[in-house]
Amino acid sequence: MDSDALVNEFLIESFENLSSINEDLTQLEKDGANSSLLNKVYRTIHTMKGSASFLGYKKLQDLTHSAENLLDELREDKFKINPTIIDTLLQSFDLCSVILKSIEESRDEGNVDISQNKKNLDLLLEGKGEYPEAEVPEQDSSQENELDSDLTDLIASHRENNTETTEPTPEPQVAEEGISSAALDSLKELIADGKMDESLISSLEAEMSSGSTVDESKSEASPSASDVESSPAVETTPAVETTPVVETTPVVETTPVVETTPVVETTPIAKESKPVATAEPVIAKESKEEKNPAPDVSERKSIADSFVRVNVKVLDKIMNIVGELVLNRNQIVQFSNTRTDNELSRLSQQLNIITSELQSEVMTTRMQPLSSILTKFERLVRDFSRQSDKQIELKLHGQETELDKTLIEAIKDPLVHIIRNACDHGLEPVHERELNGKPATGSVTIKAYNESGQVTIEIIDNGRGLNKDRISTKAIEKGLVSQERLSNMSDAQIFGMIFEPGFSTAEKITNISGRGVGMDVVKTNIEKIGGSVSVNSELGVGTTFKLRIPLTLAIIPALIIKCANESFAIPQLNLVELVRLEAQEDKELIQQIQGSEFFKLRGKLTPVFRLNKELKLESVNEKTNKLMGVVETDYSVETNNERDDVLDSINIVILNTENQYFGIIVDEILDTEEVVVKSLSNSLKGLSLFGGATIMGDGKVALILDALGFYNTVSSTVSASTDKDSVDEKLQSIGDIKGDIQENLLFRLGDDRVYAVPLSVVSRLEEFEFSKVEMTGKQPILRYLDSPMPLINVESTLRLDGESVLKTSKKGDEIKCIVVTISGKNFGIVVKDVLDISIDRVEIDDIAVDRDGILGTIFINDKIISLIDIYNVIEAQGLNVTAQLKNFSIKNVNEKKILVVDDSPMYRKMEADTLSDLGYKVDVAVNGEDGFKLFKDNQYDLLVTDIEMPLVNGYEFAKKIRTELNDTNTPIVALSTRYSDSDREKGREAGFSYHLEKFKKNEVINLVNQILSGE
Amino acid sequence: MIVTDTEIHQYCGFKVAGEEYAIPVMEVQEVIKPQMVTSIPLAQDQVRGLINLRGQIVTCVSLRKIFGQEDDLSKDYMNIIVKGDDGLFSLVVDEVTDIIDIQNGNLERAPETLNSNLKQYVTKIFKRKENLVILLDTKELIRLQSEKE
Repeated sequence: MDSDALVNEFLIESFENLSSINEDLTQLEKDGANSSLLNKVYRTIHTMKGSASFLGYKKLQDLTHSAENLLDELREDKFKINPTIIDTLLQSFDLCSVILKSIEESRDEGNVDISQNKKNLDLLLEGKGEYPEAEVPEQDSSQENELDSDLTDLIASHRENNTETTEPTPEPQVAEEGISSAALDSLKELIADGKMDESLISSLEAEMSSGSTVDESKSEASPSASDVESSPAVETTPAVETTPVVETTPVVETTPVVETTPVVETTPIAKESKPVATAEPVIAKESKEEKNPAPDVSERKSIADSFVRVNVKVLDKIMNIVGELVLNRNQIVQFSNTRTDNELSRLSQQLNIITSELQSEVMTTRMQPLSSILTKFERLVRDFSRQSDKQIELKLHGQETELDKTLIEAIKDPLVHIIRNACDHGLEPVHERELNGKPATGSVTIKAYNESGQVTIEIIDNGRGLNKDRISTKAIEKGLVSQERLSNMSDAQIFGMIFEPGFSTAEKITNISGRGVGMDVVKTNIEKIGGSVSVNSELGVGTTFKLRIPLTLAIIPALIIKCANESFAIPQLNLVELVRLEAQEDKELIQQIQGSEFFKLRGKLTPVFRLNKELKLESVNEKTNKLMGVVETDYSVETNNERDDVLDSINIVILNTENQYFGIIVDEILDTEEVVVKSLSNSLKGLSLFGGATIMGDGKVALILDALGFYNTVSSTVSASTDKDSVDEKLQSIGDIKGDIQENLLFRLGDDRVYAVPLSVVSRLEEFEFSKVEMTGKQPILRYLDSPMPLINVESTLRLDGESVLKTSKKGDEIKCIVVTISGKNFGIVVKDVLDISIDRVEIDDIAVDRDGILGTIFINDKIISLIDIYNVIEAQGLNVTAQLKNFSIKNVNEKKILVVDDSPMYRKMEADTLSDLGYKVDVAVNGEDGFKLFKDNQYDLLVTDIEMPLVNGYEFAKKIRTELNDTNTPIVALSTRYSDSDREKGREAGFSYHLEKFKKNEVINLVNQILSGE
Repeated sequence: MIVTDTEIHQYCGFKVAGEEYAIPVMEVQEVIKPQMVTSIPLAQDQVRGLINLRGQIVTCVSLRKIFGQEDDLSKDYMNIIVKGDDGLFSLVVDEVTDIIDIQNGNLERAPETLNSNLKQYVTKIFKRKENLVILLDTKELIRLQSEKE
């Protein structure tokens, strides 16, 4: 909302307030003791003052301020309400009205003089509700009324002169509008008594038109004191003709407002006959101001009357009814679809359109622009900026974005909290910013926009950013997370910890933030309304909080799915995509890992859950059927796997919640529908997997699946961890149980059997034209990355059946090869087909190994697959490079003992084999704990350990040895795929002596030889 | 409210597994026949599911299950609709018997030795000539906190 709209809003509100105040004040006059009424008036004025000061209307602010002070005293019973007070107040509010009108017209307060009125208010305040004796104020304070007071004086003085005057001078009264009523009253009296003489009228006239002083007119008037009608002095009076004035008087008797017209009429005459230069502005002004009310009333209508204030409760009720209507519409549309009646379908179609329109219109009644809260933050930030040594600028974007009123209310406090945090903790003081080469003024940007059916609000500061290390330290300190888990956490996850209960990094508590209300409250509040909050940050650059808020809560689009004959609704919001696996082959994309199922979605492992299994729908369904007297369907007797075979396809609904992707396998995917969310009874709220219920077209109740709740529920039953693990962690946690997760590349060789190599040795998969293969001697080679790459014929090396593609290919054929990199050299393993990657817990069985070059067999998807010992195969080529590798093993034959700790059976075997080939005695352990036990009981000269292992990882293992056993001498060689600088740093701290990349055989051989031979 | 001994209150009587029970008639909104029930997977055992009562969602609670007995799914049953703090509940009973007029003076305290499954729900016992009627606390019945677990 721009400032103009804001002013309009203010005007509407203020006009309304003023009219209610007038009513209240008159009521108050009758019932002075009504304190609630007084409070109401006070509050209204207070609000007006606040708004006026916010918008910078100084006069209005001053006036309302004085009025407020007076009301405050009254409220506190300092003195009693009397008519004088009421009058003065009413008068002030009239003045406010004038100012407001001026604002409405010209966006400017106009040149209304409020000083007198303000003074009166202040005097009343000082005088405890009475004007102090010494300073009886003039009757009217508004500028145009100065004239009236003069008028009164004039009349009074005339009376003194006129001996026939018997009437006492009327008590000073405060005028309500226009010309002082007191003055008019006196006038009326005089006229009625017939005591008004012509001279008075003429002087009055003169006074009115010229604003000249009383004395002047009096001196002119006094010589010709006679009756109005017969006076010859009419001609002599320099002012005007009498007639219009006489016309004026009867009108005066009726109402003061209409009275203005004749006065205006007289003006031109006055101007003609007595062209006093100074008089003009006064007249012009007076006439303008008095004229104003009439056109203003109509204009005010145009703004104020186009709005109706409606109680939110009424809106809620309408919303509910529309909800019912939507349900009914759904039922009718569904019903008409089963009929062939054209008229019916036309009508239902119409109903459909009208209902949708009605629904969206009703929605908009509850929608409010975010500006209603965002603009309030200007003040918040400004105040903060003033109180601290920071310069902060607030930038607002997309304030016009609309959101349901209840949601706006709900996000207000969380937003305040985030913004305070951004100002207090996020932005640096000026000197610090300058030191870091940033502009002295920090900025907090609030961006609001619509995105995929929800409203996103970003709060971006360009401050110091979140400190990952400090968060980590703090999290460990507070026991929110273990060191081990921390090392596996992504940045986003670490930042996410600031939302954990009991977490606050603020080192010092300021009066702005850090008062014990943490970000966790922000998170719970946002999640309560179905939204989400995330944070991203870059150290030294800034922090971004992202709130995602649903547009409304009552009616949501949802996907209807069916499982075991039950319908469920899944909010569209969480829906990413739908996957349908048709052929049997595709079903193999769903893999079992330790009882959990994963689906390979474009190469990314995504956990999938079978809805009927997770929700135990079989038994439920059985129950329902019996309940309904339905004969059991075939479904309930089948097991999950059997069902897959019966149904010819698998439907997977891929969902995303809090950046966690997962799939739900369902029986049927029906359609999307607008569903009305009905909350479940509180006693069922424990079931976080359901967000509510809705009524379907057939009148049946369907449950709404809450994606986050569902994920938390099912993942906790699988891995007993309640937090939202990423797939990696999930794999890790499954691995923890047995510890043997292995990634293998599966391929087919010339004998059409499936073989596997560890994925870790594979650097690329390539395809070449067969014609590019060249030969040196009997060795086929290929130019690859500017150096010759030997191609390996595995079939002949391992004396397998079948011919290698190298032999069978013709010119023009493509050959596929797996590029492995060993000792910095590339080798191409020529295969018939590359099949897949398997991620599985593998047990390598080496019983059936009948030749070198095969490590053993593994079971993958119930198939026996031979695992190829790629090092052995390459060595067997008798190439020059591999000969170098062999050299190492000849020279050391000694009794040195090495302990190899690795959870991966393949690496363990490879490492152990390599080292024992060198002539060392090698023991193996499957994890740090196992290794530690062995190490304690035996003497080893060298430890070779993996880092990522279940139970006790490499770091912990090293630490245990260094600290618990106080052994600082035994060299520890870490072999890891984690080889970044920070990993190595971490390793050094833990106590690794060496840290090598896994698995560079000759480097390892070199190093081990070097260490153990003491070189 | 001062309850005198002679004041007569009306109760809605119903049968569950052969026993006769009653709840104050003022707490009953209506009694309806079996409806389409949507089961709630993983919900408490005594929760039979949800039904649609003219656009409102009603949570069905099996009294048989509450009293530690198995549902007899082959038999007909009735829903007694009562209003809870946060929505409607249906008490699933075998049959609804009658409206019983009871004088407060004729009520007796529940015996200490009462079946523990039942005890927390029982307010008073009404001794009729032919049988006993157990008066139940509706609020407690729909609280759904399964203390058994």
